[in-house]
This record gives sequence, structure tokens and C-alpha cells, in this order.
Amino acid sequence: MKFSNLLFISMFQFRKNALGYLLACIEIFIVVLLLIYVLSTIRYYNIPIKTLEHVESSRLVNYGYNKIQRSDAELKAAILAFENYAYNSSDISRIGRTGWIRTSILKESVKDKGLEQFPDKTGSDPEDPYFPGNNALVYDRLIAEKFPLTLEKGYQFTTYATDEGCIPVILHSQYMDRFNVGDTFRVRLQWADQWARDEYDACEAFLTVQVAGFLNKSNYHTEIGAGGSFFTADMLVTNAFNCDMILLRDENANFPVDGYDFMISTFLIEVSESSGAVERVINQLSPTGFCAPLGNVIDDSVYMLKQKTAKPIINLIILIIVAAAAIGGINGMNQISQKRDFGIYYICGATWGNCIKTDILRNVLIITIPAVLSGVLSYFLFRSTETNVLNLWDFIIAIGVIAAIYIISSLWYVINLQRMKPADSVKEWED
Amino acid sequence: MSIIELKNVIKTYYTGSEKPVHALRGINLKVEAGESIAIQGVSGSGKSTLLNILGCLDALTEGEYYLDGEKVQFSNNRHIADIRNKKIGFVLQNFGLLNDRYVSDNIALPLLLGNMSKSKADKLAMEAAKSTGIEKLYGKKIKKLSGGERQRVAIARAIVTDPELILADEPTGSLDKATGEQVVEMLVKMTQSGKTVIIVTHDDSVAERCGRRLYIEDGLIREVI
Repeated sequence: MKFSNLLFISMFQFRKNALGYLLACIEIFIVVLLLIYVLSTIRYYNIPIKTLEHVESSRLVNYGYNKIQRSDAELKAAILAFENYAYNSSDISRIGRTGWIRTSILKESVKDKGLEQFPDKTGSDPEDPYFPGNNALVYDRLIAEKFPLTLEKGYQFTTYATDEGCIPVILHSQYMDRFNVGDTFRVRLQWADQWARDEYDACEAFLTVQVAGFLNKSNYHTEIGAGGSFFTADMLVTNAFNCDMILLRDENANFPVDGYDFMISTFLIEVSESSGAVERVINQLSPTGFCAPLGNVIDDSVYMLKQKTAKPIINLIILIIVAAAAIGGINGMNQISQKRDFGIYYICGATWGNCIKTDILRNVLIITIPAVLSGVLSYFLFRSTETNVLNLWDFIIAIGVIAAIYIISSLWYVINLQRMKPADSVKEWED
Repeated sequence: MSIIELKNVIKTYYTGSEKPVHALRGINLKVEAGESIAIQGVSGSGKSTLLNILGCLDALTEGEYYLDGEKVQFSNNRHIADIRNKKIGFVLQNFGLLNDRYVSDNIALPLLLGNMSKSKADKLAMEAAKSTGIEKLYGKKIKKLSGGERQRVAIARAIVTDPELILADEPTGSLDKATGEQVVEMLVKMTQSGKTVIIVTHDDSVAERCGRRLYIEDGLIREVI
């Protein structure tokens, strides 16, 4: 049968029971909405749900940095939240850090490089064996995967090979004329958990580093304007800290600092100086405790994370309700369509196949509008509240599940129809 | 040439563990084009079964059915759907109309199912409506029509594809006497244009209007003279 005729006949059914179809549409709408919600949360149950435990910052100092170990799941959650925030937020005005990490180059180790001529190195104390420190970042493989650096020259984790005992570093592009990939030098690494803490109250370590590459010049901007969406992630990071050295922390390297701590603390906190913004950001990063903030500039406290057992049973219950509602809705629709109409089509020259096609087409027509509407609505509902992680796949999977249920239901209907004798169908509408 | 020829048609219903029901026990029948035939019989005699087989709504168990010289292949769904669409028109006691749809949609339905374009189907549907005197009802919904008007719509739908055979199952069953007579008149009149009309009825007055009367009893047919 011609598709246009099929469509026209399918539309007969729409106008037949307007209220019934309206209810079916509302039901599908709710079902898809629930399904998308469930799907968007299921992925996050894979990351252990956290609760916050307030810890005095003084205690933190006693713990020492290396004792604050973050799990991969926590780190993933934090990065994901940051990513969402960085790309979606229009509030972002400045990315800062709670603590600081700084590298100072040992003069002796770069005496032939002419660093004295650099603007930020001139005027250094001649007695000091180190050049004035510059901001630094610690990158590990996980972070590099999420926020790959754009390099002018050199290699990141995938291909670099450093001498034994050396920490690979990516340098600011300004060093490109003075250093080559493979050069080694010594640095003093200093770090503190709070921005206000001075270098005398900081931890320090002495490292031999080896140049692995140079950042792209275009990574540098004088400042980040409102809205970070036009920056790539690595541009955002490098600008935020105006760092001139990124230390690559390989999991096998004997790295003196827990890179996770530095990355997380520098990434996530102190996002805006405007009043209330930090609170909002923290809420956004940690809407339901999935991804807790790892620092808080407002009350100068640090939170530690404690794992809490997830409750997937709740999702399971929601899924069962969704499935039951979907199946119930389909049955209702099939009752609405009735066999009577098919009997009429049949005597007018339709095959059962034609009848089924009209039924399926009608189902598709019914599904499409509420499904799209619920998809759009769920985007706005779940994007900025519960999970902040709705993506296209959630929507596609939700529609796929509904479509599968409808197809199974239609097939079941076809089987039942085909088992019915044509004469009985005629009887059916005669009755 | 015979428009219909049934050769030793047997129809048996098998209903699980119960004894098989022999609805038709060997029907032989020839119907010439342009005839009007009434089929009568008590309930359960097999007249509806016969009509279902003639209308390609049900398959026969044994025997052969030739329609317009062509053997009906009941195993081929597309083939029998095509026969129903092109060669047979149905008029039924309860009209068999889509009550929430317009007269135009109902009349055009067989044409649309037969792959005709909507515009052409509308044109032919209007002509069929005119020939049954319901052109003024064309834009109305079925549920707003009277019984007689509905049956006229059903007749218009039955003739819209210009079929050779019209099958009517108790066409006056839901109508008052006067309206029923008009409907029967309309059906019988179709034989003048060469169509064959077969009416299943309990009503003798309806049967008397037909050129030939058949009586079914216990699955066997006999001619009433």
C-alpha cells in the first residue's frame, strides 16, 4: 500500500478517541521522562555516592597531604563535574585554587639557558640559588585524557620517555627558544593547601625534571572573560593558573606530591569571586553528593569524602514502574484501536499486514511527539539539578527502550490477530 | 459466463477437542453475471459461512471456488485481499462503517487500500455518493447519520470500486420497513448494470425481490422455485 494512503488511514485512529490518545500521550511523556531520569542517574551509581564530613583545616595539616587519598571514582566524578561546569556555566569569572603549587628552577641547572633575561626572572636575588617561583600544575594520565594539552612541540603521556628518576614537564611556550625536548634541570617544588599560606609554611620537594614538550602559544590569554565555553579545557586550565610548568605525574613515577589532591583542589574550587557564586558552584558540583567539593574557600574548611553505599534498588523500583506503565499504556492503546476497524479494513481489501502497518504507524505517530517533548523537557529538568549530566545517549536509550516495548507489543498483537479467523473478526465488528 | 462457480465446497470447523462442525457439506453453485440471488436459511444453517467464503473472508476446507472464471487461491493473502478490494463489495447488517470518520473517508477506503491516490479516490467516492443519493451527506460524520443513510453509505462504499459482485448480509436488518425496501430496491437495481447481487436475508419480502432464491439447510443448498 502507498505510504501516503497508509498514513492517511493511520490518522483515522487518532481522531477516534481523542481523550484516550491524549492520556496515552501523557503516559508516554511521563514514562520517557522517568526513564531518562533513571538512565541519567544509573551511570552515577557506578561512582560511589559520597557524603561530606567536615574536617578542621588544622587537622588536615596534621594528616599531611599524602594521607588524603582520592579514589579514581572520586576523581572521575570531580573532573566530570568540572567539565560540565566549565562548559555550561555562564557564571564563571575566574578559576583559582585553594592552595598553591609552585616550581622554582635551580639556577645552576640552567645556567646556559639565559633565563635571567626573562621578565619574571629578572631582579631575582643573586644569592638565591633558585629563580623566583612560578605557578605549576600537576597532570596525570586521567586528567590528560579529559583535558588534553595542546602542545606546540613534544609529547604527553602517550609517547614521552624520560630518563630514570626524572619527572617529565610541559613548559610554557616562552621557554621554547631556550629549551629542547629532553633537557633536564632541577626544580624546587613547593605547595600549600591554602592560598594564603606562605612559602615558609609550605611543603617542598626537590626534583629533577625533563622537558617533554611545550604548550601551544594560543593556550595563553591574558584573562578569562565571563563564560568559559569558548575556551578549550586545557586553555581554561593553563590560563587559570598562568602556570609555566606542568608536571606530568605518571602512575609509575616516584612523584613526591599526590597529584590528585592538587588537581582537584586547583580545578574545582574558588570559581568565582562574586558573592554567593562559590556556594552555587559547590552546589552544582555536588547536587546530590555524587561529587563532593574538595575544598571550600568560604569557611576555609576542607571536606573529606566518605563513601556511602548506593541504593540501586530505588532505580530498580522506578524501572519496574516505568515498564509497567509503558506496557499498560500500550495495552490501553491496543484496546482503543480495537479489532473492529481492522475487520472493516479487511473486508475492504486490506491484508492483515496492512492492518498491522496502520497500527504500527499510528503508534509511531503517538510516540514521537510526547517522546520528543519529554526529551526536551528532561534536558532542562535534569541538566541543572539532580545530575547535571544528561546526555544524548540517555535520550536515545530511553526512546529505544520505549520503541522496543512498542515493537514487542505490536508483534504480540500481530500474532493474536493472525491467529484470529477473518470471519471471526467480521463477527467482532458485527457484535 | 458464470461469475461464481462453487464445486463441491465443504467447510468444516475444528474447535479443539470438540467434534468438528460441518458448516457446508458439499455446495455446488453457479451464478451468472447480473443475477440477484437471495440466500435464506435458519440460524446455524451455514448461510453466513457461505457468504464468508464467497466474500473471501474465510477459506474453504475442500472444493473449488471460481470467481469470474479465476480459481480463488485462499492460501495467498494478497491475492484474496485483492479480490475483496477489486471484485467484491460488502453491505452488512450493522453497516460496517468507521463511525467517527466522514462519509467521504468511508466510501474512499477501498480505493485507498487499493493504492489509489487520495484526490482520485475522493473523486470516485463522490460519484458513488451521487449514485446512491447521498452527495449532500458527503462531508458529514457517520455517527450523525440515520440508519438508512448509513446503509446508503455502505452501498456507496460497496460499489465505489465497481466490483462485479455485491454481497449483502441482512442489509435491511437494522432498518425500518420503508427504508429497507429502498435499500433492497437499490441493490437489486444494480443487476441492471451487470453486477451480481447476493443477499443473505431472513426476510421473505426481500427474498421475493430477487431473481433467484436459495435455501440452505444443514450445510446443503437447494433452489427455491
